[in-house]
Amino acid sequence: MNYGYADLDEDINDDIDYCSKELYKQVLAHVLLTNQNVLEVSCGRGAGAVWCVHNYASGSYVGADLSSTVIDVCRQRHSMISRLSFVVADTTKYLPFENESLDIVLCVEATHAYGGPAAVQRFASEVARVLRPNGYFLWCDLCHIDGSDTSIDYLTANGELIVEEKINITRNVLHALDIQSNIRAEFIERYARPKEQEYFRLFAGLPGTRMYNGIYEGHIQYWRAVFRKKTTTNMSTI
Amino acid sequence: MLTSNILKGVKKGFPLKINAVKIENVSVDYNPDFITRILQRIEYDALRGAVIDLGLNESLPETISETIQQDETFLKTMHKILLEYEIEEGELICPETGRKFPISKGIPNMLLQETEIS
Repeated sequence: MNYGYADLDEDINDDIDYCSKELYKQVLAHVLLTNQNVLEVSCGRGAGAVWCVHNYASGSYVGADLSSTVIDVCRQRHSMISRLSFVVADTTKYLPFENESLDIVLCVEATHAYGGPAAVQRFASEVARVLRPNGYFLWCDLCHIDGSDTSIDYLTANGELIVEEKINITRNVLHALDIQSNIRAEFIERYARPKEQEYFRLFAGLPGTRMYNGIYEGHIQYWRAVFRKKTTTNMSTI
Repeated sequence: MLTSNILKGVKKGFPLKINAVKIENVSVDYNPDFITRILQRIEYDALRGAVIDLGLNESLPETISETIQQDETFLKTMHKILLEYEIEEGELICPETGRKFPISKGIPNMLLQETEIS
């Protein structure tokens, strides 16, 4: 689950995953996955990976996550989908892939939890290492606006990834949180244990929570960006 | 085995050796276009080496030519090897250090210890 994306004229949708899928669509806009080797880092329970494999004809798609428990869930649910596989790996330390072996690395709403600037910079170096020249790193995440550098700055600090596009989608994410709030609140009320409900509400960014208020008041923004691996000639591919 | 073809261990540790304790056969719809395209992206020598190491009863030529890449029998063999062999239990082994990465329920665990990260 991610915070989701919604066009500002979008209304409530019964599909609890609709806005989450829309966020993936936004992140993948203008980049072709057809026949590409794709890695999704911090893939969680794999719903995004499955959606991408079904909607984009990627060559291979690997989902990686730190949690062996969550990858086990992926395996149980998604093992029959060919071209999709999973691996347990700590993406803030090391990506277990050959140099320049991947066309696209995808990271949805994860780097804010990587443990700070140093970890994000290390992650960015690893992304640059495994991407082929001119390969793409597709990213979106929360950014705390506190006067210091944001995640985009940490990801480009080592000079190996170039920002091709960056868009502030805070309003669309906030709108997604608004139109999903009832269905997510009901889900939490039904399935989360009582003592954990407040945590899940905060995690889901429901209105009234610190997370939601931070976004609403502008202390937290949400950005998506397309990074390209820098080459020696630094020429874009079409 | 498609995934194993692009995973690696340490900086130069490619390809990882595969030691399989349990291999399952799954059925996947054959798509010759996909196999033809993915052939261009894989390390054929590494794959062939893995097939030999695992003792799979599949015959692969030492090298692949433009002609054989159009051959239906070859493409079906590649489809079977890449997509229909699932290594459920076993390990991936770095050819340089011997470091073993366990495969459990079909998933390689590539987590490193803090001391292993340079």
